[in-house]
Amino acid sequence: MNLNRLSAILEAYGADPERWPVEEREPALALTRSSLPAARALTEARMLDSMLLEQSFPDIADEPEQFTMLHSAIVSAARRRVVSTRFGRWFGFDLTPGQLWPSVAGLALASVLGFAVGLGGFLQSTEGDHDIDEIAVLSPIDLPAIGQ
Amino acid sequence: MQSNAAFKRAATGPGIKLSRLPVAEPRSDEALMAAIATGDQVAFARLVERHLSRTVGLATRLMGSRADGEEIAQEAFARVWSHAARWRPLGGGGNARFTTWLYRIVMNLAIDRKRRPTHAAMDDVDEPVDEADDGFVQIHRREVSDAVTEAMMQLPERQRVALALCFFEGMSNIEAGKIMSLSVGAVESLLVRARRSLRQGLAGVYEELSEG
Repeated sequence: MNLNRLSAILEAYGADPERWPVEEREPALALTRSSLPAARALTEARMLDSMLLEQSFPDIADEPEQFTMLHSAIVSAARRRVVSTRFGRWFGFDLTPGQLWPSVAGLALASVLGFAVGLGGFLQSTEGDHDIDEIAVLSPIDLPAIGQ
Repeated sequence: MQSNAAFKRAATGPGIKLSRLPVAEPRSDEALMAAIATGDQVAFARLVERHLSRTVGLATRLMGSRADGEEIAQEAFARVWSHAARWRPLGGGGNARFTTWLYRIVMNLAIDRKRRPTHAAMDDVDEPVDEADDGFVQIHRREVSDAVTEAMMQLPERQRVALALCFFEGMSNIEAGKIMSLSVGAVESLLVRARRSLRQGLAGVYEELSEG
């Protein structure tokens, strides 16, 4: 350990030895005790630390009501997904966590097939209507009229 | 942004109340995740209870606002629920502890959110009132806290994440490296640059403290 490495440690991790890399902690501490420039560098780093630690946000753990509210919101959202999962299962899809992609892929495939079948049916029915029109034209009911 | 009213609506829904959770032997995160993968809501409620505070804390540091931090935490846990079956524990084919995975999700969500245009004011952070302090000290602390938050928000994303993980959350450089998918040396380099920038950005406050 030398002053350069100690300075790098202080620059990166600050003045609290608990934050220093474990394997370098003891030699770095020893240097701060034996060297005046090292002790000064430590004091300098403490100054920035103390300023950064002034940044305070309220801890949600200290606010039981807010904690419970947020916890409930998160768990309720998961529960709503379960309800939609059960709904999905009625239609043969498995939407349990982690199984969403196969289900989405299945749904997409079913949609494509449904569209294809629907389109085929539509085209067929259009052709059928044409036949019916032709039959109607040649309907026996109309034959006497043709004969006239 | 989800308002408090929205939280209240969600909280009054048919979710699992904390007080209703059965008392049981504490299970590891890995065991809870295995249960969550099968759709176990009680296991999910326990996991959220265990990690909610720290998740909100980290997200708040990264976003500079508690309200945004709570939103990020909600999104992160929604992803945990949805992707539980994909997660593999350390030693079970995976390469990360649950918390490493969770904090990586938080980090990614926070970075994504920061890149979007925001309309949230930094002033929406409620400071805890310390009754032991007089008004002047409280105002001064609030000013320093705001100055630090502003300086933190000016840092490049990765520097801010590295500082939040190592300095504020007390993680080792190895843990932070895993979360950020970086080497220990790269994390250290980010930390050095972050602290140098902060020292410059907070020069005025720094001098004030030095004199005081």
